[in-house]
Amino acid sequence: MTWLLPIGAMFLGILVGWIGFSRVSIPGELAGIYAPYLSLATLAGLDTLLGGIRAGIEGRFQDDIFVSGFVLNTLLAAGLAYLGDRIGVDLFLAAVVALGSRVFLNLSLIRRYYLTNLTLARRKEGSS
Amino acid sequence: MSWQWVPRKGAGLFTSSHRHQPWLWQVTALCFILGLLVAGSLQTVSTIRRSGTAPGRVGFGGGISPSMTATLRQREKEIADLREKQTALENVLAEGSGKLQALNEELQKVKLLSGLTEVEGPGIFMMLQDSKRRSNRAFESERLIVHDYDLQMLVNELTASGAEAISINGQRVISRTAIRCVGPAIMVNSVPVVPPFEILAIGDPGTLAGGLNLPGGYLDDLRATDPAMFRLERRERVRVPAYTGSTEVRWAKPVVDSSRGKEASKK
Repeated sequence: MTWLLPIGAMFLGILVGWIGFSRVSIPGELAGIYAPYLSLATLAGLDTLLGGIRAGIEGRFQDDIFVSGFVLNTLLAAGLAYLGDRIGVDLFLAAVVALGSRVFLNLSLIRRYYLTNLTLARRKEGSS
Repeated sequence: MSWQWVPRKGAGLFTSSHRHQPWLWQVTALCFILGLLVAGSLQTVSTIRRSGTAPGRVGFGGGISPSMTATLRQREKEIADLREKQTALENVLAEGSGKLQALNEELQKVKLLSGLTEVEGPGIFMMLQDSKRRSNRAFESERLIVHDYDLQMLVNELTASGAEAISINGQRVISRTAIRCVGPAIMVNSVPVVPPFEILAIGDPGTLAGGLNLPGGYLDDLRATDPAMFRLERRERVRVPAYTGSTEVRWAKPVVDSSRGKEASKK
């Protein structure tokens, strides 16, 4: 049942974050400014998570790559968004597209792995 | 067990074939952080929704700040108060003298006509809002939204039906009022107004409602699109606020016709 651990952790995170963020009252103007950065960080986190799971399945998970990937991806995405704001180009879209496509790619690989295993197991059951 | 299909040999979701499997804990930790971020994003977006600020990014701070808007509202209220006080003073000044009284009566009538005084009387109340329906056909989705030209048509129809005073969301429509579209907002008297639009008009309630309900008229069209987009009520008593914008006149000057006589031209 170990797979319940990350899911439980996420729900716990949402709970803690929800309560924590509702405690501090953020002025609407400020929220409007940092909202895209927070969304980008969420996307980067999702990307790293799925990438980590995929690497774990493929048996080449490395914790330093996992952690540094999350931190650097977040920083790069936020930096790109900031630069884009400064020079008047929606550069954060580049981060959204790159991270988004990787999320889908990783998810599809994970899905493929499990579906393949599922059919293999079924075939084995049928033959025995 | 339900997840029998996970092969014993090789890597299961969190049972890596490799000796070290600390990645379960790291994935768990990241899941927690991700949960925090998701909750933060949700809260932020709801904060933005509540405050009505458009999401902007650094450098393009979205529009006028709430404190400035509050100051603006306060100034508008001051203008309304001062104009009311002016009317009272004019009335006091005119007391006693017959000539002044006649002049003041004329003045008050002109002020009423130009929309500088709050007025009340029988009329209609109308609520107009965007349709809750969504359509992906361009021509239809265009009609499900209230546009500046909807308000223009409405004001025109009401005026044609003899409305003596009209206001949209508290903005009095006067002879110098422009109703135009600026980005996502509609500006009335250079003040942005947002749906639901509340339109008040003073006049004969039956005539006003009848004018709007003319076959093939504005409301007919709206009803065909989505009847939930508007609500029309006849009212015994409607209060239409005064115009609180600028009354500065910079270019127009009254023409004094010289052919009429010397008294006029000398004046």
